[in-house]
Amino acid sequence: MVELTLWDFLSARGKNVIRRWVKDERLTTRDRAALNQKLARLQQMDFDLAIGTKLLAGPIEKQRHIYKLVIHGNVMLRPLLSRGPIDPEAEYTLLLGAIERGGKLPREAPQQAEDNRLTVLDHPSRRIPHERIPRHS
Amino acid sequence: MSESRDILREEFHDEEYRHAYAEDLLNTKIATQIRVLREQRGWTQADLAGKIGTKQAGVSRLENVNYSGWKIETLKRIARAFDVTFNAGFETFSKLLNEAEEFSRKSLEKSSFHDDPGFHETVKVSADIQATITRANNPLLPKAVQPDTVHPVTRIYSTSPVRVTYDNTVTSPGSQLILSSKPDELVGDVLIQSQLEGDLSLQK
Repeated sequence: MVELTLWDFLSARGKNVIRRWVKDERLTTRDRAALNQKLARLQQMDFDLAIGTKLLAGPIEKQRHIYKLVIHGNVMLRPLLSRGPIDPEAEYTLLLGAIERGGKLPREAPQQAEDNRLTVLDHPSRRIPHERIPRHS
Repeated sequence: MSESRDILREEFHDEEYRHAYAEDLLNTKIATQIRVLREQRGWTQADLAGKIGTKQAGVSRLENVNYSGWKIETLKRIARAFDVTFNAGFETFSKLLNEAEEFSRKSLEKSSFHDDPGFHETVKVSADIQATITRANNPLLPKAVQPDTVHPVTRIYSTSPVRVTYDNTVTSPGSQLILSSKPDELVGDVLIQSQLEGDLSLQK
């Protein structure tokens, strides 16, 4: 079975924004396990199945290319991602970490994720293969 | 990086982590499998809802990977609807490594009893137009009562000899097309289905 590839977006300073988000938010061990589990399954299922089972929700708000990975846990983790953007059939890129509060994403998050997606399209070096979330900080 | 067995082996030494991971995988697997099995059968959520006595919204909830309120009774009803068994049990974490590694739409698909290869052999059928036969004159169609023309002739190819039984009450004219190999080699019964080409189920 061919697994889809996951990538993490890199900030202008070359930092992995997903790793940074996990660290800054002080995710619990339980949340980290759920996040790793969901990301692994995302790689193993086709896009339609991910949408159908609500593993992915979207596209969100006004952004046609941005989806959120849905994880119910101690906090409502919603890392934002897109298919591709370089090879939409074979990969996802995690663009921004986000947490939903009161059913809402941070106001700027969708646009920021889209900006990051466009950055990857222009500069493919602004992402690296996904780095697994450490099980604790 | 994809999730390798070695990564999980290392991570699972953390008790809280491994139980959280296992719980999340269980929810993901059940929800995903319900959806996969439903799609495998070409059913809508409303179709499945009707078979298990709930509403479409209830099936939508059961197909959500973040749902965690599973009830054994509901899962048994779903198994009955799909004509598969529901196998709940306790398992070691090393088995979970396999489960995580092998997760895929294909691995979650399960045949209903009538398509279960453990009970039925699948035979290939082609729809070569080789002859025109009439049911009334064909000894392989003993129950035929109306002398109508049947064409094309459909041949069954199987690794084992096949005897065709013809049931005048369930087959349409289009499916009354089954010719077998030599009668004295025949064993088993073919369950004649409505299609002319593709797979037929051979009952062992």
